[in-house]
Amino acid sequence: MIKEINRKIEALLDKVEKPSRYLGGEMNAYVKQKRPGDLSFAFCFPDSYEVAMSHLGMKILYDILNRSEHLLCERFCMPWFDMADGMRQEGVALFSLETRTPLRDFDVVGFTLQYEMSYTNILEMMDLGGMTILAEDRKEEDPIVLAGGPCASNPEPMAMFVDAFLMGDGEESILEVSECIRQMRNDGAKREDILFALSQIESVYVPRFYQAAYHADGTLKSFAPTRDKVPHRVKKRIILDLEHAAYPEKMPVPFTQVVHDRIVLEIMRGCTRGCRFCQAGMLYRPVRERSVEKLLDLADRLIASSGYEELSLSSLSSGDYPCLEELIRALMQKFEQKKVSVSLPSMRLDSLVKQSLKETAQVKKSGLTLAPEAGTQRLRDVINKGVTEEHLIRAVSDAFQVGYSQVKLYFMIGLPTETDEDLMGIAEVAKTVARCYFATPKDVRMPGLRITCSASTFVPKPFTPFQWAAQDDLQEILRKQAFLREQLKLKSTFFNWHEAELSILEAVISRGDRRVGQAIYRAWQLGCRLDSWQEHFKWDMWQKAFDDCGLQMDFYAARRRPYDELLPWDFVDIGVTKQFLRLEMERAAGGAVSPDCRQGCLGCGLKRFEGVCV
Amino acid sequence: MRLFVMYRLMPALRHVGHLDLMRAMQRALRRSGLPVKFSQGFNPHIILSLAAPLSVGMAGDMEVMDLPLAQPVLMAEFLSAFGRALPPGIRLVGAKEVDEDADSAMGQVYACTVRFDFLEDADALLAAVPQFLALQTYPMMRRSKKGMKSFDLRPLVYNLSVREGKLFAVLALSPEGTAKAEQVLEALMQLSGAARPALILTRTGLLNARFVPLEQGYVAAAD
Repeated sequence: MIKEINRKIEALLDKVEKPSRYLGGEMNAYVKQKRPGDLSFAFCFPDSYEVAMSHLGMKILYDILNRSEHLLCERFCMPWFDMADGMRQEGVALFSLETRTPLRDFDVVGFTLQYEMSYTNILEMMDLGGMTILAEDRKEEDPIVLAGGPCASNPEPMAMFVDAFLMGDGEESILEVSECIRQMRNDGAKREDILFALSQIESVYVPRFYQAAYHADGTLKSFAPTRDKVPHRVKKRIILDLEHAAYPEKMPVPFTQVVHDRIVLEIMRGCTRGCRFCQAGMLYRPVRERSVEKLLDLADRLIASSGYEELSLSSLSSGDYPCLEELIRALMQKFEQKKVSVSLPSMRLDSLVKQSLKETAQVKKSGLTLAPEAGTQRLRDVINKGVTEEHLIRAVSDAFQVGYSQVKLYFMIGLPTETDEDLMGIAEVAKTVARCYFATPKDVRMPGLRITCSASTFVPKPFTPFQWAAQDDLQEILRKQAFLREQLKLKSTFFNWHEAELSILEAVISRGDRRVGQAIYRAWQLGCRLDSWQEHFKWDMWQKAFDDCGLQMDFYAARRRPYDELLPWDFVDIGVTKQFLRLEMERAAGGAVSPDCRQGCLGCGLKRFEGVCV
Repeated sequence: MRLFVMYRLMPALRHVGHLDLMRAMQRALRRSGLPVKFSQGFNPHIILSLAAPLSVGMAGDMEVMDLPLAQPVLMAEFLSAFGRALPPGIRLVGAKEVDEDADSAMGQVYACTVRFDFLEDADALLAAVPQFLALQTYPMMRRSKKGMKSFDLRPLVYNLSVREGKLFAVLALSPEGTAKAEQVLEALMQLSGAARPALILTRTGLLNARFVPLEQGYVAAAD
């Protein structure tokens, strides 16, 4: 008969709004039996199932862990409010999708840090899973909590909650760390000794072995290890050979529709463009590619094993993939009979190929998305987005000629040096796109022009040339948004913008120090969770949380930081050097463009890593 | 070639909705490599239909999919290829070949059988079964496109029986009228005054107008 806990879960599933989020049982999910000596790894994605199952990194690491003989990995996602509340009421601990095992029963609990606004979800998931939230309070037998992903590059705001961070590419380090914990646990080692052993693995940061001290003005005074042999600087891990790096040949196929419900093929990692606001562009250096041959082989296997009807290519800048046309043509040919469509996200304007547009349009027609980021050439030069109006005109004109009629344009407001003239430039770009549409002959263009302009608020991020920059304050952001709303009252043009408060908090946390963790903890206690879902974002509670902890949001977000300030993330060697970032910040101030580093080395610092940038 | 394909939706997947199940079937068919038929148009999809949507929360023991194929395949080959391609919570029970011009599976369905598995004591509720069966009419309200509408549940319930603490129902399921397991439950709660016990509902079979199971004459899949 059904176990008591399963009965409770089944009863909850009958009540909640979207029960299919919690079912598991997907095709290609791994359900492994835990044998003595095995290590169980809970892979936690701190957002809804629909977001989690759209994420490539999780699928890669889930596959790597489960392919290892003595490891088994199960997935956890953030439950929605109704489910979380029901679980608390019924005494049901957060359970895995695969076997409904409670989170606290795993040997290792790993969180992926994709977005700062998911941090309260991590605390919520730990609490629902019956875990101790503060790292220092965890007992011997408690799971070891790991974290990785892009936001781990500034780990400090989460340092109170995480036992060890993994910096950089995780394909190798996640196995090394898991194997180390497995062997030491099997040998009965103490928690403290296991964590010390982890600190000796390259790219692993164990916060408990470091101490931060502060000046009277709140800035960081010193940051150093407190224990012998613990590294002063933590160097990120780089997978040099992407071609031979592990990549799944099967991926779980969700029943419910997820955000990116398709096979994702990572064609390339890293970007050489050097946009000055872009954290991913700096974090994922150097550029590494997979060969067309390898990708075609993977595509075959993944489509056959998943039954997906769509495949998309993924990278930071797919247009820069050297054999893009060849790849797309081969994929089209391969899948025409099977009616599998191929889509290309994140195209840059200047690398847009008319031919590839035509070919994608053959199978499935969707809107064209472009990201000029700024409205004037001056500001695009400041941020080093090397895109000109001619690029834009050519790209949209080509698109209109092959039958597109919907264009999405992404912009940022609040970029360093921005004036109202730059904002007016955004409206000018929209007008230019409309002109290109009407310049396309009537019998060629598709009816239904729709131009969507999205303006997000600039958030200065660690390890970018703008890491020292001040973010606009709330009032100024709101004024700029209102100004743009007026400017963009144009025919066939739609404007949407991001919530200003959310962008401010993102800026605070992304460049936060250890003390910010207190405010995150307090905000969660005050009921903040699922903050990135605008309707659930509690700005007043976040403000109270910072007040309660005696911290100023402006100190972290709206302050121009001097170059000689010790930054909380300085101890992480992410590849690019602080000197390079400073040089780029200075060039930005002068409106000087830096070329793509494929056209000549700019000395970003990656060359210090052996075998990189050959 | 055209097939009626019988499958079981396990209780673990009883919360998978109708459209999600359709998509899962399409993807399983793609994985199977079988010669399916595609619709025309910009977004071609595999042609198939499920005989009757299952309510979310309900498992199914003998569900039926109506599936045309572009080329004939051996039954054994079909069963093996499709059986392997299904996710663990959907089990292939069997299949039978039908005439290309036979009525659709959806058009043939007239009634269904449902099993109520109670997870808590339901004696009080079940005591009302004879009382319900003795009634000539049982007026109820249901939600329709034009708001709440009254209907008579009783003639749509062909039979109820209790065995070993479980309730078995034969319910109308056709365009002329449909009785839902939830409505039967509600009626029994009203008659008995009992609270709703925790339970799992399983549709155990689909019947045609002669009350013959749609799967009759099928070839069973290997386990």
